[in-house]
Amino acid sequence: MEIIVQCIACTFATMFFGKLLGQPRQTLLYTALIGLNGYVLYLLLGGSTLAFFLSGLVSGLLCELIARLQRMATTLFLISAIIPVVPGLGLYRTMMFVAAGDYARALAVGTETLVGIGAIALGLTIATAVIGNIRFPSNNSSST
Amino acid sequence: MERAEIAVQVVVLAARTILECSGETYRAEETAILMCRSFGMSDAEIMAFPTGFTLAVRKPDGTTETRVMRIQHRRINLGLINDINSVSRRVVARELTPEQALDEIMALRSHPEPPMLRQIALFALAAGAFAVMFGGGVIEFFISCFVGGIMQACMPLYTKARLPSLLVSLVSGVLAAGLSLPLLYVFGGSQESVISGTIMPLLPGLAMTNAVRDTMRGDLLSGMARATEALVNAVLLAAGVAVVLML
Repeated sequence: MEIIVQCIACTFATMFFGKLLGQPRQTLLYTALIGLNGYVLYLLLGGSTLAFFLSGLVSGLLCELIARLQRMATTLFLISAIIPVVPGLGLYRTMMFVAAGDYARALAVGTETLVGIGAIALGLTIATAVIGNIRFPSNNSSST
Repeated sequence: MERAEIAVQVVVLAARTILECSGETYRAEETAILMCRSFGMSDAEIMAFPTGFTLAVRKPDGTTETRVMRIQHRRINLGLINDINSVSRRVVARELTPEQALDEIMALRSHPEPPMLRQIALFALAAGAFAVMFGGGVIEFFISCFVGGIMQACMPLYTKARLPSLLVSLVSGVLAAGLSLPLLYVFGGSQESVISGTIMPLLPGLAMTNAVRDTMRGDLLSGMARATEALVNAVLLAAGVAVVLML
């Protein structure tokens, strides 16, 4: 039950965030769904580094794909679609431990957070490399 | 103004707008080159960075024109990037003359900023929803909404005070923790979900994404610049929170 509430919250959070950044209206639903999909994947894989990587990869691939179908820039979708998996909680916990003077745990959680961010970036990189250079024939302008 | 002059003006404005809205560097470069070509100036070079660009074009009459543009203020506006993108596509499809394109871009640039109240409401709702996502309940939702709303309401003040954008992260971190703690003390609730929820919308997701995309395009300088921006922003935001937690 709690998970369902969290997933609904994730969908809305992604939508509000996208709107805050000025995303066009017709992209909001797609980003919300891709964001939700990434977050569910992340939860299913137990929040490990692999989870960060795979949800970054899948979200990246979906965004590249939908951007081409919609003939819009990929970034429009990507930025809010990956926000649910960006480790805000890890950042907060790191700071909690720093504030408490528990540097050993701060270092552990902090490293985990940084590696997580790196893993998302790596996933996105691979997604861009795989689809990023394919161009649909009718789509001959600066559309990636 | 002669036609070539206007064409150069269009290209400069398009590239400038993309960079000002935190678009990718390669997008600014590609848009400029493609537009130049469509306007009949095939010999064009542009070198763009997140903080400015240099454009050199050979005009049809044989003279070379060079423009240097410094990008002073950057903000995030994905909608405007999209609009410029579609203007540039129509230019490339030869649907717009330089004069028409200039008018369109001018009109897009003169659009007023999104209303402040709407931005406050969106930030508040996003912060609240993130708090629930991190396991918060009803109390956490409302506290995050309130704190998030105030954080966004303070943004215009930073612009007015000409606060460097990196310091904005620090101050926002301080606000997030400093406002949440007393409210949590009064109403109860989980500190973890509220504070992480309110800082979520400020995490540099855009800088990180663009760092990856610029690097992948071989734009190493811009990639490094953006990666540094993302890292420093995240660290300062966290430091702001930590300062308050340590008190």
